[in-house]
Amino acid sequence: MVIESYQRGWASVRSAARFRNVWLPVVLLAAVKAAVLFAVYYFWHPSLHGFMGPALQSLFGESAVHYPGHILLLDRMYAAADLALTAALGFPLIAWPLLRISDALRGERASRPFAARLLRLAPSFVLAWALYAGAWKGVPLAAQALAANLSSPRIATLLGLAAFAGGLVLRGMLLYAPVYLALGSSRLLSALAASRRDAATWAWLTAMMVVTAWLFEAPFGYAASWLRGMPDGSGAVLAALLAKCAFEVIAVVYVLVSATKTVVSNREGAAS
Amino acid sequence: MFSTLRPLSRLAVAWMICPALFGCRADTDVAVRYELEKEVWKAKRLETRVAEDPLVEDRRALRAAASLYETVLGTERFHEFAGGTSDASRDIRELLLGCRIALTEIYYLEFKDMAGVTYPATISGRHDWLVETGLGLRLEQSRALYGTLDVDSLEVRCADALQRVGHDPSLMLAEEMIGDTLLAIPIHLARVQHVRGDARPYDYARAAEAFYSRIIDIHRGARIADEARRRRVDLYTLERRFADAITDLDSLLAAESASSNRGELLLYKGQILAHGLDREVAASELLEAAAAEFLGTHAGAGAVLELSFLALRRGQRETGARLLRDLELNPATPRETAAAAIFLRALDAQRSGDRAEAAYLLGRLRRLEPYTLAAAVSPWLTVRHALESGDAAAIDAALEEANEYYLDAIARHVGYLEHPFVLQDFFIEAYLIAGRPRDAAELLESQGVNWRVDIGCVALYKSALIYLNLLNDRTNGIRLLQKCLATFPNSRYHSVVRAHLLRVTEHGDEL
Repeated sequence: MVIESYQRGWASVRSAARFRNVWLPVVLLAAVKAAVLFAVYYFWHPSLHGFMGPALQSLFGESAVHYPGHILLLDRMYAAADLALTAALGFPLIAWPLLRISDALRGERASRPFAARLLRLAPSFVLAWALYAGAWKGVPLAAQALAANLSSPRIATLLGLAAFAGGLVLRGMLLYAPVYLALGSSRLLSALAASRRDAATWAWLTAMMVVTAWLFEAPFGYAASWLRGMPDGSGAVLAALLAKCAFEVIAVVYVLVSATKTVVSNREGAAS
Repeated sequence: MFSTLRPLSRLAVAWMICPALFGCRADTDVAVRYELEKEVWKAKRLETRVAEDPLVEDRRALRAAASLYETVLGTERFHEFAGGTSDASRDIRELLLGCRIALTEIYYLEFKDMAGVTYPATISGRHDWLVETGLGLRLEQSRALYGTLDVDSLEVRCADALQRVGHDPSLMLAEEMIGDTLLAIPIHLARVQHVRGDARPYDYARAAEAFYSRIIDIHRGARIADEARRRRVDLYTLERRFADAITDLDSLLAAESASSNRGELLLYKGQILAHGLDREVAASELLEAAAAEFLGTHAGAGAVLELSFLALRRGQRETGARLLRDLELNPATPRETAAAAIFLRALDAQRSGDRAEAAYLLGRLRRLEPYTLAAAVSPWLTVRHALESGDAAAIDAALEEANEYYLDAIARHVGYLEHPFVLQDFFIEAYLIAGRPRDAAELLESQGVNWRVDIGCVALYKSALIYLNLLNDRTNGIRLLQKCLATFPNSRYHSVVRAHLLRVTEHGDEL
């Protein structure tokens, strides 16, 4: 089933290759994340230490700027930066390709200029995407932070599993909201309600989409967690997180294309 | 616009990727600290592996850790950045000192390990009840047998490393790093020098005193200062500077007015007063107070043992015997002390001519508390008593008992003595006082091949030493060394045996 998910996901991603200017913003987002990851990794570099050192120290404690604490915390530090960047840069770097995909799939020529449509989308999209990014990146991060303060490993494991499952369900419920907004829905609440309704209607399809997207990026995240305790594993942790960053591009494009296709085909079905 | 952005973006990418691809090292105190922390962590991981499972392979890990520490301490760049005033420079100084301490401890463990094979066993701790047997003295006199191996390089390396730690200007930063192992090194070196009885390029006792005094001065009032003072008392006792030892003990007692350590310190002071300064009355008063105050503890039982020892020495046999019996029968008495009580009763019985009672008590000691120092010495003492009787049958029976106890305990590798090879030394001593070194060598050879790798290797090696140094039997000595190398190729003492064989055969012709 996993291989099937990868194949389906990969087919969706390949189909996105024909959409104009879809890849560039997503790759740009990944590049920004990679740059931040490098900055966190090389915080001790003379050109970075002036601001990265105090920032990491105040956010993650003294051990964040000392070896091996720095490497042990690297994936958590990156996850926090990732959440902030994903939420903050979702508009315009996600809204832009989403509009392009929805235009292409609908096969309609938009009456208004692209920039104007993008701007009109801004307020509701920023909120919808922040919610989605919270479910995607924030829930596991919060669970991780909470588990670190628990004394019982069993409860920490249960909490991790609950956060994982809860995060996937939330992602599924919020998945279609940005798509509805890109397709012209002007109100955030109605887009959220439609997304929840669609997720319930196509529960299996939505679950497959969310799990497939997770499968693209998860192996590298787990690899980073595993490698951080290895001797001389710091370079490998960096490489795993960079790979996660790169594969997230594929996961994002896959989710955007699949979710938009689902909503568009449903609308067309309803209209016919 | 894009033509302007392109070179800028290239520069940005190169700036980010350059350190990753080419391992560029930016020379700032923070970057150097980070690099140093990384190296230290690698070495510490290797050390942890050794602490978890001290197998032969892990000795290699320990050597690898030592090599990493040596590399770190030999890297000029780290020292360059240690002189600054920033927090990072301070951390670098602390890390370098930590490396120096860790390296010294590794050198010490290696030296101690090898010295356990190449020098006669020393019985550490304060076992005054053992002094009268003369075993300690005999072991020290046995250096004709053992003192043939060259471990000087290990010893000097350890002493030099310790001296560097002692002179490190950052020593005041090391409060958390100074542990029992480091504090044990100066007194251990001084003890080895004392046992060996020779002069070295520098006096270990003076170096030890300077080291402890510096720690006491720098960390005044801290826990490690008290620990260092406690070790200095051991040093003064070793040098028979009893008045200085009492002064230090009084300082410690003043600081430990309410602690459980106080009992041990009172006991120590009582022992020094009784055996070092011959102030028996003052010692008895102190020990009685300690016994009453710390009833049911190790120190309390130790004080009662000392009191009974003093009573026996004064000729008050009844009082002494009563105290010893009470100790033996009290279930709260620690095993070592209960065993020592039986041992003292046996000594007393022997002294008063009751050989049967002495033999019975020593046998009872081995049955009741077999894994104690007193029990380990008892077969040797039985042999000595049999020799005093001059009865050939009794000597044979005593040696048979010694075989039974020692060979079984060595084979089981029972870890109740400080060093696993001490039992082998006791075993050899039992045969040496009986004038039968060849029997000891033959038994060690026949049994040693069946023992665990390091224990067996040392047994065959000691057997070879008996042939070479006591019996002047070069042929058998070389044969044993070769057999030892062939039987235990993976022993960590392999290099020691090989070096000895090379030296014996001069050019290694017989290898």
